[in-house]
Amino acid sequence: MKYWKAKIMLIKKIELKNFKSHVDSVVKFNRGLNLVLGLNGAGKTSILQAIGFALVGIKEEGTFKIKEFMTNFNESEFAIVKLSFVANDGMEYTVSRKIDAARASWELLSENDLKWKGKAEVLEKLVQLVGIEGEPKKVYKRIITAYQNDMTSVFLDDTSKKKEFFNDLFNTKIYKEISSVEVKKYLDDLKIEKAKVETKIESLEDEIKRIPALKTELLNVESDLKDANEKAITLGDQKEDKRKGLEELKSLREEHKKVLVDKKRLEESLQGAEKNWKDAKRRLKEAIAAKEVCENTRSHHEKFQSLEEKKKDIEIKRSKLESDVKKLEGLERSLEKMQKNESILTYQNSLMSQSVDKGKNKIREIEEKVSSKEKELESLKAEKAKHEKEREKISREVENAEKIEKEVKSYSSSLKTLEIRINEISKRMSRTYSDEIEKLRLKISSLGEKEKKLDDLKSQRAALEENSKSLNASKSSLETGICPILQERCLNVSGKNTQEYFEEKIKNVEEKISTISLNIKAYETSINEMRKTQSDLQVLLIKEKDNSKLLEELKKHEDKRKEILEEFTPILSTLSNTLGNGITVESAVEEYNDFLKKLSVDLQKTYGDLKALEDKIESVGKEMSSLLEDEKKEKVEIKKYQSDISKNRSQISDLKIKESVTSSEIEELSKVKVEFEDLKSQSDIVSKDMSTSKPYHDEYLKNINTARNVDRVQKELEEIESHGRKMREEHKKISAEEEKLRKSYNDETINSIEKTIQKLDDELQKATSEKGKLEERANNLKLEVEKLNEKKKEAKNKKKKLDTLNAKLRFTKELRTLLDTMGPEMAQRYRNFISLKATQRYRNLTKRPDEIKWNEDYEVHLLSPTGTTHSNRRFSLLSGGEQMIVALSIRAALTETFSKAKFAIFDEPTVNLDEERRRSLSEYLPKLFENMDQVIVVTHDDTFREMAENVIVIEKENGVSIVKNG
Amino acid sequence: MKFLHCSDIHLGRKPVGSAFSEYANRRYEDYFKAFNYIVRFAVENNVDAFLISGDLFDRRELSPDVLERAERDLELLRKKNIPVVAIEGNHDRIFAIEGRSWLEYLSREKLLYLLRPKVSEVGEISFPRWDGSKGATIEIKGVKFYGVGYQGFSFPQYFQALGKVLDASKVNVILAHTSIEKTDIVPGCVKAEDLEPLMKKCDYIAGGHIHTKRVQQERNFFVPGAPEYWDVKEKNEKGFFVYDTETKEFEFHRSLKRKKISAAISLETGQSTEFSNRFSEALKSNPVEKGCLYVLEIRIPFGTFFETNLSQVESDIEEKGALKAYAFTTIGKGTVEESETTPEIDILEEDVISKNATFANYSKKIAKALENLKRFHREKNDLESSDALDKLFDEILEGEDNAD
Repeated sequence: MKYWKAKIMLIKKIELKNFKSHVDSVVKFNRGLNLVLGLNGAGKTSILQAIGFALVGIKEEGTFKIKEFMTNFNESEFAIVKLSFVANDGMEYTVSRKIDAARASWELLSENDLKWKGKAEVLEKLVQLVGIEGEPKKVYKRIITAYQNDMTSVFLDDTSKKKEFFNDLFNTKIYKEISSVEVKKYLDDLKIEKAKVETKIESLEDEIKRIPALKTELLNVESDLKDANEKAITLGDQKEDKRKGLEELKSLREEHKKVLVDKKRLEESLQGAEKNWKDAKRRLKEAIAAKEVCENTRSHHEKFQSLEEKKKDIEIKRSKLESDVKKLEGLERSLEKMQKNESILTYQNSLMSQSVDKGKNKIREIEEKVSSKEKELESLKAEKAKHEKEREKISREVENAEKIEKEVKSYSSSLKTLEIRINEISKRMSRTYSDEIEKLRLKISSLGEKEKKLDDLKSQRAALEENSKSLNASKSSLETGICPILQERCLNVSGKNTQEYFEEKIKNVEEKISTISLNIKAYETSINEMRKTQSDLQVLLIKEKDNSKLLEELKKHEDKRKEILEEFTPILSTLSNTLGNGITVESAVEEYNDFLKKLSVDLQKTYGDLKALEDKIESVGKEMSSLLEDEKKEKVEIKKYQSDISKNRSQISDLKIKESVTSSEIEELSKVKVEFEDLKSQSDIVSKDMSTSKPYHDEYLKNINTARNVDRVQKELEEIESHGRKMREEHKKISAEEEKLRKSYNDETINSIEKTIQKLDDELQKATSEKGKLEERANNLKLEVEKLNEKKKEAKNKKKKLDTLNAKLRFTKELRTLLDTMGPEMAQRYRNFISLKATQRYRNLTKRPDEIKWNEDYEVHLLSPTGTTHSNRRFSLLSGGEQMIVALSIRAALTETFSKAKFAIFDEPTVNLDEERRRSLSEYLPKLFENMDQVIVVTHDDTFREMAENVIVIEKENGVSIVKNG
Repeated sequence: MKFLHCSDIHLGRKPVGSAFSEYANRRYEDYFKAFNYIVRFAVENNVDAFLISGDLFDRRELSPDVLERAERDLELLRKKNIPVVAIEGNHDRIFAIEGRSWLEYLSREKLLYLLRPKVSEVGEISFPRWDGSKGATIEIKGVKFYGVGYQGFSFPQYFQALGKVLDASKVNVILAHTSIEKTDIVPGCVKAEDLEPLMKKCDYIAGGHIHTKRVQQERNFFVPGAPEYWDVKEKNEKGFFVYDTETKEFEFHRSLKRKKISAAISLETGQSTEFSNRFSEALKSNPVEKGCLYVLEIRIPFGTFFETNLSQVESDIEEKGALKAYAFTTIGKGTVEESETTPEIDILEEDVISKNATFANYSKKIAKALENLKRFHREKNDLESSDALDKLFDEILEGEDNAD
């Protein structure tokens, strides 16, 4: 078993709507052998058609129109075929085809809801899913499905038909077709390309021819370029020499210019130095004159300075003392203020002491009043307590009385209710029925007897009536001469005297009957009356029963009443205690009510007394509390005065201490004030002395700065003189140098050299341009050679390509030859291969060493070894059974080779088979296909019924196919 | 962070057994042992997260024993606070209409986070954040995990939708029960170009589905393989990865699995006597060990009958002590991998082409090109056809140059 063949293909279900004779059918298939069973024309083949139509798009042959698939049983305008199957990838798919008048649509749906639509898309997917090798329709029609007795007849057809059938299946024509279409086109394309390549090579070779001439020219140009290069170098050298000489002369000229500038700058400096010298001389003279003035005024100047020092010392001392003097004045002022405050505080204290004394007297008066009020209040409270005790006692009595009243009332009302009920019952019970009942009972005592009698009478009458009937019958019978016992004519019976005999007897009997009837009537009247009385009695009995019920109730009520009266006895005795003896239940309520009223008046009065007392107590309490309030106020006032007094006293003592401290400080400071006055007079004396020396001192100050400059100006003058000497020497030197430089160059020489250089430059430019031209030419030539070399390479490649093309042409031609002959070769190999496989199957089945051979005319032979040789029989010469085994073996081999799906369909395989073939088929078909996943056999007979895993029965009712699954 | 990535554990698998051994029962235990080994590794190395990229269970219906033992191992991780991020694979997922899967139950029991994308009524795919009970995206320690699940042939649509929502500045890890294969013959696998929308936007794609190790570092794509042989023919390495999001380095660790011995013999005539001789030689050079799995590949030339009964061969090997033997034939000259993944039509075409003098050495290439040419022929796509031919001949020419 090969790996890629281990695939599953399983049709699970096909649904048909309005498809041919199927209006609404569902056919379910299983794994293994499925049998579709039904009479001819039941609609079995339609199911196969639907499978082929859905799976590979097979329609019927010839002039068939798609709408012919639609049923003609109803008005529907469409038909639907829905096929569910498990594909090779193990997944479930459903292909749906909807047919309308003109066309049929395709749709494929996978179990995971992916969709494919349209013929091309769906068919491509289906081929993959079903796993068909080759042309799907052909494989389906010729391999997957076997029609009717195709099984063996295909091998019995004439050679041309067999060839057509199998060559078509093996698709042997396709090789020639590919050869003459695809490969031919490729060959033509190759030829065209070859021509193109050849033309290209030709043109390339023409161009390549130019390469040698171009190379020679390049050599010449390169030699000229070398000469031009050398000339340019010589000119360049000459120019460089000239340029260097010119540079030197020009630099001398520049230097001369610089020296001239320096010389001029030096001369300007010399003029400045002389001016400085004159100025210094004048300043020296002025300084010497000022020095003389200072010598004359020095003594006065020094005296003034010392006086100034002295005055400064005095002022410092004074300013130090000044602050003490100011402090002294402040102290004197604060002492005065303190003394004033002290006297104010002393006066305040005397006033407050007086107020305190007054307050104390007032408090004493209030305290006396309060104690008298307290005594009054105590006596009032005692009286109130007495009254409260009284009230409580009365309250209790009232409460008790009310309780008793309630009980009395309740007992009395219960009693009243009971008595009303007792009265009612007594009234209702006033009549008794016993006498009446007894009377009635007596009346009906004979009822039973009478009834019995009546029954007797009735039966007597019935017997008599029967008798009369029989007499009448006998009479009429005997009149006709028929024996009433034997019921036939009797000679012993004569009609003589019979009339009289019977009439008398009948009359007798009828009289008896009428007598009894009268009796019966009398009895019936009497019985009816008695029955009426009986019903009256019944009514009375019910009433009697009611009475006894009432009696019971009455007794119950009276018991209850007795009970209540008993319970009431102790209460009654209590009441007697209060109200005196002779109290009954009836009077108790009223009397007790009066007693209660009286108690309540007493209680009310007690409440009034108590209220008056409480009012009095309250007013006394109020008076007392107002007195106490006044006392409290007075006490607060006194306390406040007392605290103020003590505060003032402590302030006064503080002030006294401060006063004494301040006085001693003032004493100390008065000495300082004297010293301060003395210093002022000293300062005045010094100021007077200073004003005398002031004019001399001022003159000194005016000249002293100028006088101090004498030495410095002297030195400056000496320096200026030495610098002037140095500069004059330098001037002499620079003049000599300038003279020398002026003579070292000549402007005319410079001009002439410049002209020479210009000339050389022109020549050089010319030489360079010449060189450039030559270089360009050389480059162009090189490029051209390079390009042509590329073309040379291209030509080489093209030649290689041409070789390839030639090789391909050769291959293509060879391939065409191969393909043109491949069809028959393949057919032969197919035959060998299939017959090999078929032989293996045949041998496994039959255990015979025969061999199936299939020659090139598709003639099947069976070779059977017999001893050393073997017999060789054509298919047509085999027995029917052998033909079937061989045909099935070949078909199984074909299926294995062409359909990856392990799935096959047989349409009426037993039709037109003789018994032997049919038996052989039923024996071997299941064996041959036992390794198939699914086989569907459509048949009208029971041949395969036993081995089928699933039997589907198709029947036709009123022209419509009905499917019975499983 | 450091996370562990494993896949395709297939707990509860009971392979069809042989009459001579307790194959099914012992193998049933093997899958639990393999998973327990990985869980203990995660606990001992204290990883930050544990990723299962599909097929924790072998089937969607579970026996109580399988569920209980799975819960016991997941509980070990929960006790260590190692979050488990999982997706469903093709084996343990459920059809949308059937209701709840056992993984959903484990998710509700807080033993793992089951990530699932959402598809709206109009067919738009989205990756909602984990809301406490469901979602397709969850962030753990700054790393964002996206669950794509198993999407059969529709993975490309899901990757396109995911590419649009990925934030390249974040550390993104994607769980998808798929692998990169060159052809589309393994259903549920994707081609490298299908992953284009995710490139440069994610650090690690945790793949699965294929049962042997696959690493494509340039695409950050990792398939650890089933830790225990699901099918005895599975080859190459199997194990689990530990990835460090900071250093961007990965380590591969081999899983604990039953010993497997492989042998191959080539026949010329396919006759019984020839087979007996080759078979004895094979048993000598690759002796059977007690309790091992033994795989015998028998190569037979194209067009030859192989007469020997393979189940008898398997019984012979098992009688020598193998727990399970598996013998199978391959046709033609190619390697096993090639013959396993190449359609038979291609093999026939290759045979025809190999007889052509010019193309004998390039039969495989030409057969492959023919497959495309047939498709383009059906689609009437001249341009693609010419391109395909040109590419083919270039390759042949290159081959000839190299041969020179």
